[in-house]
Amino acid sequence: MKIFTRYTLLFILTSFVYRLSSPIKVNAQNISLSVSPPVVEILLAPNQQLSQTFFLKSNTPDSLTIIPSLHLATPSDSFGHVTLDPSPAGNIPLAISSSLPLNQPFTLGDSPLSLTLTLEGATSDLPEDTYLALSFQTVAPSTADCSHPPCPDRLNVSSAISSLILTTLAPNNIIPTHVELTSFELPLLQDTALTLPLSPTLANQSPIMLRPNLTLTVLSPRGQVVETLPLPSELILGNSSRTYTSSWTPHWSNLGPYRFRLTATTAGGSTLTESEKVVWLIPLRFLILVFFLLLLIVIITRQIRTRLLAH
Amino acid sequence: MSKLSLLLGILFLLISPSKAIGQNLESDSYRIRMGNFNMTSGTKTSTNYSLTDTVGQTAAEYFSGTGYFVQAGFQYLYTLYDFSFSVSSLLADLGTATSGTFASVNHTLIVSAPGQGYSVTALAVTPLTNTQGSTIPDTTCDNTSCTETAAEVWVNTAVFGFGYNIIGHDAATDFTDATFFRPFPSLSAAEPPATVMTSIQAGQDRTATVTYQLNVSPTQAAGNYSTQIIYTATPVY
Repeated sequence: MKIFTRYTLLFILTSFVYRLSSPIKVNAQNISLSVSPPVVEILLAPNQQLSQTFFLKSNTPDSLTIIPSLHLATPSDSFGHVTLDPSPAGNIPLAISSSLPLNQPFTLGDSPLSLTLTLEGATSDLPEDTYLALSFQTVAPSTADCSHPPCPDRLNVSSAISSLILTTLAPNNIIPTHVELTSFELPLLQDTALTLPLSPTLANQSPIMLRPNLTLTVLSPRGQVVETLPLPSELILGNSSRTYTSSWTPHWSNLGPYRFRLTATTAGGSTLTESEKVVWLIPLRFLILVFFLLLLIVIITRQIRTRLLAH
Repeated sequence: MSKLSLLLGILFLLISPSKAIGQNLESDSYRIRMGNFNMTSGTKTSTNYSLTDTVGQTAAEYFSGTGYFVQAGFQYLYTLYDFSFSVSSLLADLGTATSGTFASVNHTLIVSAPGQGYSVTALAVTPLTNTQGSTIPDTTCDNTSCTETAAEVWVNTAVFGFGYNIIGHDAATDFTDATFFRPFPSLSAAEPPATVMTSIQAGQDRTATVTYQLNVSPTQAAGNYSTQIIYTATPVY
């Protein structure tokens, strides 16, 4: 009986210590939002209108209070990420009207909600880009909700999901292009048994976004085209860079100095920029394998010969 | 015999297949959208614009004919799921803070991003503030070197302040493990949001756990402290 009491006491104490040391459980509403389309590219003439509808859906049964707002977006790296200005956008060369009032709360229920933005380009002599994000932010619960003091120190969490609206205002259908290949690094030697990773970076020196076609042409030592590899098409925002990722796997018979020509072109086929690198394709692994096999044969032959002589 | 073993080992290494680096054009999570098939575009009400659809293709041809160029061809993916963002809780109670003891609480962030990836940023509207206006300072971590963009170790209970850690899919790489913390950037101090999750690849249900940690100094004014943390998910363009 004493043992039972001792173990019971120990169990209670352990449970109590565990409860104290374990993290505080969070009991509150969870939210999940979906937005479509996530990215929209727009080319707009001045004084003309365009309407685009965005759909917002809650993936949880609870109704939510949401505030839609527009924010300026700025490219933050060469992989297509952007940084949003936390303050609502103002002073942009677009007149924007919304089917729902912006910067004001509304209730999102079970059914998806549609919000139509109508964009009108201002009068302009020069093409101009505007990068916006339509953000749908949940309203945080009130911090004052504490009916049983002492009240805890509390964090109210808001989540926001955004769609990117990338707009070029083109006064006379003329878009300037100025693209430079800022990085196209290839190794001097490449094993034919290995895949050659490609990660060139194109810099858009103009303030207007564009989506160039990037093609890798592999030329044999005799100047024959071995392969033409189009790289995945990527949008490059104005005054920003974009790194393309792809790869090329050589054939075992590709040997010698191969030329890798990277060409950025317009949709119409005009060349924007071009760069060429020479890579020596050598069957390094195969050669090493043959060397070690020969070495192995020599060692085994010697061992057999030594054993035979010993006998 | 040892020479033979060494040689056999080297041969095995050479023969074993090497890892290929490349991109799939099709996977369980997405398919490449071909042609002008348009699923997600919304209403279009004018002929004087071009979105990335058939109208854009026409505009692209027109522009290239002038010696200048714009391509507005539909390059987006035909996605099998929507861009979505979930937060497991809108409230996180840190309890009643005791000086010299860490108070912590956590919740999860979940992102599904078709296309080419996403990023999630975090921003506190203000520092933790009570009704009298007293604030709890940002953590400086154990070696006083963590910043809004660089996490450092914070395990010393003699270091006071408020910070967060994030661990999981696509979490910022400076959070090496659960002991690494950063202070939140503050909107009231005009600080830019900090990236906490980022990816350049499509992904479904990418999940990370945010842990908030608080340790108040003995001289901290009493009261109920609170703030609002805003997480924003943005797709890659």
